Amino acid sequence: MILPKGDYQVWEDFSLALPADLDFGPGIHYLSGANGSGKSSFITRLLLPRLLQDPDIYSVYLEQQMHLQVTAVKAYASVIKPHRKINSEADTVDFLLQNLLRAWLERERPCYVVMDESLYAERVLAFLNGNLPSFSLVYSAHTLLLPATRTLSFKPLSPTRSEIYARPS
Amino acid sequence: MKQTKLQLICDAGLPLAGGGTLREELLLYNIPPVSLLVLSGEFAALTGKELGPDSDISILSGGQKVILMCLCALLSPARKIRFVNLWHSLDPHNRARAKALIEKLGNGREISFSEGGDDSA
Repeated sequence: MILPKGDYQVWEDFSLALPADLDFGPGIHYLSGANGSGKSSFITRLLLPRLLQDPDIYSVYLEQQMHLQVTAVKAYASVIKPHRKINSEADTVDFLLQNLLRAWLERERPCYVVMDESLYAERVLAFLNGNLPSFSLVYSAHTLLLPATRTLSFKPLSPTRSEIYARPS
Repeated sequence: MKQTKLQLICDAGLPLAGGGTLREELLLYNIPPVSLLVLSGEFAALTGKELGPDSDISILSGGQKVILMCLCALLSPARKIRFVNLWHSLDPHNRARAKALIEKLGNGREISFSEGGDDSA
């Protein structure tokens, strides 16, 4: 998946500039930047909409603050069969990853996992390494938690604008 | 119940108590209106963002919500505060600022921290 270079007005009062195309091919992509530099906005406003529009891929998203996601997954897991009890964020992560694997085993497609400051980064990577031959893992964090193929640095130019630079890790 | 048995738990995974306006958040933390100036001043120093009583705090970034949570806890009357995953959501600069704030505003209180996912207990 390639995100074309350009200027993106992601919120009414905040924009992100991409001086070059960003390629989210297989590998680990690390989003690095200070609080408020636009990492979550990039994920929710630019990356995820494109992933969700593509019917030929699988994608899993782990939110930064997971409480609503846990509630939604808990509700979903209670009505599908076999029933599965979701009691925690860790259960939610496991459920979503198992769901991804089940779909991939039925029909192989490129897999994308996007994590926004997740507390479960190592758990997710261990699962992906153990179960999928190839995947794109995009994660944001304030320290390098996983060995990344590429780092995307978010540089605030002003409180209302940031620029994103990509470099190999 | 004695106040000493009460503990304010602030989880960075759920940083907003109300999620509406700052005024509502202050009410939920039982913060007197007079502390609004201190809070908004510290918040602006940390984030560069100005907050007023009617500011919609749901549109703050994830890290900014955590900073606000930290400030509300420190300006609340709670004597015991437990921060859960506070450091995880803050960049190195804001971690240092938050530590300084806790030292400055947390004087005389019992403050504890825990980090890790909910599978790490």
